[in-house]
Order: sequence, then structure tokens, then C-alpha cells
Amino acid sequence: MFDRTDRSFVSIWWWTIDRTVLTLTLLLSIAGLFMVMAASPTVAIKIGYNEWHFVIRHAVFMIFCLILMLGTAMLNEGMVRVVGILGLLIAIAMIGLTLVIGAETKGATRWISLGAFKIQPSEFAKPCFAITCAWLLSMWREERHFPGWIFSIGLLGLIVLLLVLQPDIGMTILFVMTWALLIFLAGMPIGQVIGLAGLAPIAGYLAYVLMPHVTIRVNKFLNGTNDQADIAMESFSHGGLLGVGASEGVIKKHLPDAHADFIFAVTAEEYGILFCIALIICYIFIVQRGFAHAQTSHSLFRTLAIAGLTLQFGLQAAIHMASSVQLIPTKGMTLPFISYGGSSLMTSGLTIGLLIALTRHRQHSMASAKPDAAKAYAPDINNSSNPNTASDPNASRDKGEVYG
Amino acid sequence: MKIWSRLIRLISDMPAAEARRVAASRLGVVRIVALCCFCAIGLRVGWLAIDFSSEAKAFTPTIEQSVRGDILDRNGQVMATTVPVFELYADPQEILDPREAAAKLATVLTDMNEETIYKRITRDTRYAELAWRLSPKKYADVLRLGVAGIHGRRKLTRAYPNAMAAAHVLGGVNKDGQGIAGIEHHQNTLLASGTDLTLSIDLNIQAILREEISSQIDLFEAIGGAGIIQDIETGEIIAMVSLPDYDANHMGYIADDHRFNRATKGLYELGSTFKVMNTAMALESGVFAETDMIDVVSTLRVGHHIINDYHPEKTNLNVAEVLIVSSNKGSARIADKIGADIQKHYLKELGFFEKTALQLPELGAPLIPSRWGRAEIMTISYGHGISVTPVHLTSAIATTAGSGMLITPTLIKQSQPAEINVQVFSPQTTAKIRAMMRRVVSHPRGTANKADVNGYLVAGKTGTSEKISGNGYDKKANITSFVSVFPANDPKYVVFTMIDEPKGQKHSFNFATAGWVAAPVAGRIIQRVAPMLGVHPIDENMPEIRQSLMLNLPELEKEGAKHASF
Repeated sequence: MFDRTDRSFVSIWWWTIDRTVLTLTLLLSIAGLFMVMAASPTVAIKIGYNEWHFVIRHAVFMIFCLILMLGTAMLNEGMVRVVGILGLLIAIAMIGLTLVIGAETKGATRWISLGAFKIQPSEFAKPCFAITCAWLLSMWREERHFPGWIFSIGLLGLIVLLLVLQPDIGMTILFVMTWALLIFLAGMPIGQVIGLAGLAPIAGYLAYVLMPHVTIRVNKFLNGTNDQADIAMESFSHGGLLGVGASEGVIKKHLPDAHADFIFAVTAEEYGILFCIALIICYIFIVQRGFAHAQTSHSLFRTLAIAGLTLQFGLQAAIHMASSVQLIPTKGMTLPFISYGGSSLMTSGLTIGLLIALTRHRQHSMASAKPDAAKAYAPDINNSSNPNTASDPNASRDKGEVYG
Repeated sequence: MKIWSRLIRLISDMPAAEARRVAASRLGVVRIVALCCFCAIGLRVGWLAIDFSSEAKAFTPTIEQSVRGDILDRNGQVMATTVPVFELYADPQEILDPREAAAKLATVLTDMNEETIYKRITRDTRYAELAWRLSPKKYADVLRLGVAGIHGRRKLTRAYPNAMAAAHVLGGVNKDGQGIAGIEHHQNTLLASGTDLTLSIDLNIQAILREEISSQIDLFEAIGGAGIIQDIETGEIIAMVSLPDYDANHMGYIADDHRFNRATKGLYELGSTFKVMNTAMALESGVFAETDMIDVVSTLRVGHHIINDYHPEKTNLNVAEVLIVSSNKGSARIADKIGADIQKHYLKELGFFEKTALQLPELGAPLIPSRWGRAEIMTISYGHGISVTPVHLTSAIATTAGSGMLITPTLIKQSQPAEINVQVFSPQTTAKIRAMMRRVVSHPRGTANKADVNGYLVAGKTGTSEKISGNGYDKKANITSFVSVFPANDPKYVVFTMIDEPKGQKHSFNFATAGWVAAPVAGRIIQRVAPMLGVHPIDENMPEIRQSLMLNLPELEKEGAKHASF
């Protein structure tokens, strides 16, 4: 595509990014277009739209999503951090706003209406939270005096509070899991990890007792009387290895939100089990590559940020698919790059875009051409709790490779 | 500061480089866990495919939404059920010859003409609705026409086999099968969960009540009416009708007047029927005995208002006679002496101050005076200045002319009598009230002679009131009502009839009062339903029966005997 000797910005960018992840993502997007094409006409007709209503919108969102993804993929580390922190502040303000002026859909206020579009700010907050948390925790390890973990837990508490008010349990789980992974990776002693893990069943039980819709979902799962999931499960047998053919499926007529929360089941019926397995392998590759990058990355910030983004991406896919096959109680969650939904699609693009940006391998020519990353966030250090850190010789330790 | 830095180091303390190495090794664990999760999903997908493939391949939606529960009458007859129907629609793009198709379809879809069908199937759309609930047979007929581009979708719909019989009790559902009126709405959660519901209604009795009230409305050219039959002991509504009514199968297209439930939501000044309660509280409170004489001759003036009687009396009457001949003046004088506190106490106990507890969304909240002065005390004694629903009245009468225990109305079949025991009136008082109400029907000076049915000892009270219009009363528009219990010696049921705005007829000598309109129909209803309700006719002259209906008023008895022989 580009000559390796070409020194233009785009060319350098192209040769330093993880092209496997990019390719897999594009493959998923194309598959998603076909899957929405299969699942959505029934839903559209059911609620009185033109049958291609969702397909057209999905295609438009997809174009914006890819632009957003490629755009963020070109950011450097400093810019990623700025985008993450600013994005999170804006998103939190908007989540707060949903509680005041939000549009209520199916008993929860998660959306803000912007004319023809509704956006779900908690979706955008997700990758920004991973970046911000990674920054706070890496600062804490680097600066020693910076109370990063306390800030991160406060941030998490604020977001969880807002989400529980909406209420949005699925999103809450994603945020808590992201934070838990990051604090675990940032070196929390094993004893504390076990103690923290012990809190999970307690929180789960509280949600089960205090939130009626959680009670219903979990009871349905435990009693095996989960109508939606039973129907979804039949789609796997009905579809067989190769599926019944595009738009030939019947099960989508019996599922709510077939084009979003149950798209995996619809896919199974129409395109078959082999296609589903291929999708799963796609996700496995992206997730494994993401974590591998996190392992080999040269700074703690990058390690944490990449791991957080990868976790969000993988966990969301896993929860969606596991709900469809009734491994876990039904939890409405979209399948990244596949499910219909503007906010979800944009977030998937943002997540992978940030991931690609952070996983670029270093280029000497670029590193010398750009201002050093250490200088880029030196002002942050000055603003931290201890003003003396700027002159602290340890301040230069922010580059992992000095030690690693 | 020390505490702060200790807090920062609460979760270990290590340099960034070490933390990064820890992270890298821990990520190894994370990668394995992630791989296991995805593999588990993959295996599950594969397993589902293998596990189910041995079974039938065709998808059958075995688990539809749980089917809405049936509504049954007290004898188990179906009042509402869920049946399969077909939604018929056309895809105009698939129709080859719209003219021919419309002509063919018109032969089966009889409620649309050919032109209407043609217009629909030539619209620029992929979906043109033709019928939204076609019976399976009709659907088969449509398929047999062999018209291309016509499609059907099977779905479930609510059906009411006795279309009109108890429309206001049942209410109805919307297109999505959710209750929007009547018991379908009130008990929506229960029914939606698939549970059957047994009502207190008896469909056979219901049919008779509806038929009789309806024919009386026609006979007197009235605008509407209502009827209630209630079990005096359990409060169960055995039958309840409000006319005009509607076909519950077509709830969506009904005019408001037809949807309006006069029996439970309509608020009326029910007139002289309130004298029963007035008399009962006079006796129960001990302020009066039935033999006490009341001045009904001299003019009774409250403020600028003069209270008159329909039939002015020349001599004074005792308390019992005031009820029997229905004297407004007498009732007002009694109430005046009872006073507001006692009156309010009993009316409140009898449930006249709030909505009834009936299992319907359509309930009227009584209109009671905000200021309870002397004028209000007096007018309320004969049922003016207080507007209540018919169900309020029947339940209050069930208490006042029954055992004296508080009775609350219900539409759900009761397996045992209610547990709440509130004694409002003593059995002695209610026995006297029944004896007096019996005289209203049997005594020649009573106002409801036309309600008498041989052997069933009907005891009742008429009420005629002018309808409120604007600031005053409309002299020509009456609400005529009659509330009764039978048999008087051992009451089993309360029967209420109400005819709204009857016009005087030749056969009624131009009268349009309750005695001529509401009372006779009650008599006919009792005659027809009593045998079905297991009430046997008895001889009123048997000594123990006479004893139970005795009033210690020799003059009244003598006069009654004299007239009775004539």
C-alpha cells in the first residue's frame, strides 16, 4: 500500500499500527452490516418504519464510526490522554444531564435527544474512563505521592452512582470491571484482590434484592423460564451449521430488539453456527492481541490503558454472546461493531481507535520529530498534590523504558 | 500529611517499572481467563447446535407470551377468553390484477365494499391492512380465493362470547391485549400472568337483568338505566348492568355515553331511597322510636327554602309511616333532630364518603356538601344534596336491611363471607327497617305496590329525583330508582333498578315516577331470578312470617288489612 521508505505522516502511521486488529475490525463491520440487514427489517416493519430504515442508518453510522476510528488511531499518546480526560468530563456532565432532561426508553433514562439522533453519553464515557483511570493509576505508581488510586475510586463511585440512578446495570458492570482490572494490574496485593472479589457477590445480591427488574431476569434464568433466551437458543439449532439463509429466519419475529440485543441469535439462525464460531474467533484474536500489546508495552500508562480498552471491548462481546446462549441471565448489551445503534457503534470505533493509537510501535524518526512525551505531560506533574515533584529526579521515570 | 501518604500507600507501594512488570505477568492470567470465556461460549454454541438438531428442525414458537387468563362467571361459564385470529394484509407490489383481487376479496370480506378494498390494495406501500381479526374459517376462505399478495399473520385476540351481557363489568382490551377498561384493566396483572379469574357475576341472571331494564327503558322512552343484584350477605355483585352498553368485542369504536358505567361511576341524587338510612339511624341512635309522631302538616321552612311533600299529608304521621308514604317533610324533621354528627357518622360508616372498593377502574367519588348546615342535614335525609353511585346505595341497603353488618361490594366470587365484622346497625333495627320497607310494597299507601311479587316478600323503597341542570333542578328530567331486598323475612339479595329520564306514557297515566317505572321492573326481575337463585316462594300469612314482619302499629296494620281486602 505504502512504500516503507515513504516518510509521509500517513505512511509512517500505516507501518507502525497493528494492521491485524484494523483488518479484523473492518471485517467485523462488514459482517455487522449484513447482520443488521438480516435482523432489522422485521423490527422496522413491526414499529412502522420503512424496512430498510435501520440498515440505512446503520450504514451511515458505520461510515462515521470508521472515520472516528481512523481519526483517533492517528493520535499520539499525549493527545489520547487529553481526549480521554476531556471526553470523560464532558460525558459525566451529560450523564448527569440525562437524569434531568433524558428521554425515557423502556423504564430507563439513558439517552439525550439531539434532533433525529439520541445519544447515550454513558457509552462514550466508557473508553474515556479506561484512559483516565490508566493515567491516574500510572501517575500514582510514578509519583508515589499522587493519590491516583483514591481519585480513581472516587471517579468510579461518581459514575456508578449516576448509572444506578438511570438505572443501567449492564453499563455499571462494565465500568466496575474496567476499574477492577486496572487496579489489579497496577499491583494490588493478592490478599486485597481476593477481598475485593469477595465484594462482588454481595453487590450482586444487593442488586438482586433491591432492583425488581434484576430480580425478574435472574429468577427467569434460574427457573429456566426465560422466554426470550429460550427462543434465542432455538435459533442455534434452527440455523444449523450453515444457516437458513439471509433474511429467511423466523425467530427474529419473536425477539425484542432483534437488531441490537439479540443480533447474535439472529445471525446464528440465518448464517449458521460456523459463521458464529468465526465471529467468536475474530473477537478472540482482537482481545488476545490487545492484551499482548498491553504486556509488551513500555509504559505503565500504556499497559493499563490498552488492557482497559481491550477488556471493555471483549467483555461487552462476551456478555452479549453469553446471554444469547443462556450462559448468564439476559442482559441487554450490544455486540461491538455488529449491533445496530449509533452510540454503541461510535464507542466501538473510539475504543479500537484509541487501542490502535496506543499500540503503535515506536518509530525513532517519529519520536525525534515529536516533542518528548515526558514533556508533554510535565504540566500535569506540576499540578499534582506535591509541587516539589517537578524537580524530583524521579520525575523523569515516567518513561517505562528507563527501567524496563 | 502522614496519614495522607499512608493512605496513598495503602495498596502496596512500588515503582512504576515494577508495577509494569507485575501488570505484564498478571495480564498472562487475564489472557487465559478471557480465552476460556470465549471458548466456553463457542463450545456452548456448538453444543446447542448438536443438542437440538436431533429434534424437529422446524421452529415452533412453543413459548408464546403466556396466554391471558380467562374470565369466568360464578358457575364457570366463559365470559372472556383468548382465541386465535388472523391479521390479513396485502402487499400491493405482489398483486397482479388489483381489480380482480378486490372483486374476489369483497365476496369474503363482507364488511368492506369492493371499492374500499381496491383503494387499499393499490396504495403505494408494502403493507396494506385488510382485516385485523379474521376467524380461522374466514381466513381459510380468503386463502381459497387464490389471490397473490395476500398474507395473514396468526395472533391471539380477546373474545367475549356473550358480547353485550356484561360489557361494563368486563371492560375490554386494546389491540395489544392489555386491559383498558373494566375488570380487564383492574385485574390486568393477574390476567396477563395467565391466571383465570372467577367473577361473582351469574351470566343467566345478568341476561335477565339486562333484558328487563332494557325493555323498561324502551317502554318509557328513557335515555338509559342501570340495574344491580347483590348478595346481601357476601356483598357479591350477582348481576350489574348499565344501559346503553356496548359489545365488549369492539371496545375501540364505542361512544362515550355507551362506555359510561352508570352503576359504578354515575353520580346521582338517589332521592327518597335515602330515607331508609335516615330511618335506620333515627332508630339505632335511640333518638326516635318507630311509634313517635312527626309533624308533617305545618310548613317546614329552612332559610328561604320550603320543604314540600309529593302527596301533602292532612294528619301527622309516625316514624314508620313517614318512610312508608315517603314524606320529605317528616324525614327532614327526623334528620333535623338527629343532627349532623350522627348523620355524618352513619353515612361515613356506610361508605357514602368515598369511592366503593369494587374491582373496577370506573368508580365515581361521591359529591358531598362541603358545608354541613341545617339545610344539608334535611335535604340529605331524603337523598338530595348528596350524589352517590348506585353501588354505594345497594351496599348500604345490604347493610341497613340485612344483618346490620357492614357490606362491601365485590365482583370476585367469594368462597367465604368477608372477615371484617363491623356492626353498623343492630339486628333489631334492621328487622324493623325490613318490616317498613315491606309495607312500602305491600301497604296500599306505600309507593311501590307495583313491585310486589306473590310469595317473594319484596321489601323496597322508591326514589324519584329531578336531575340537576345548570343551577337548579330540571322538572321534566327524572332519575327514578327502586332499591329492594327479598324475601323480607330472611333477606338474601338486594335488587336495584334505575331508569334515567323516563317520559310519562299513556299506560302509566302520564306518570314517570319511580313507583310507575323503576318498581314494576324490579318486581318482574325478582319474579324471574328468584327461582334461579334458589329462593322459594312462601306464604306471607304463616304466623311466624307475620311475626317476623310485625310492626307495633295497630292503626297501620288495621288500615292495611282493610285495603288489602279490597
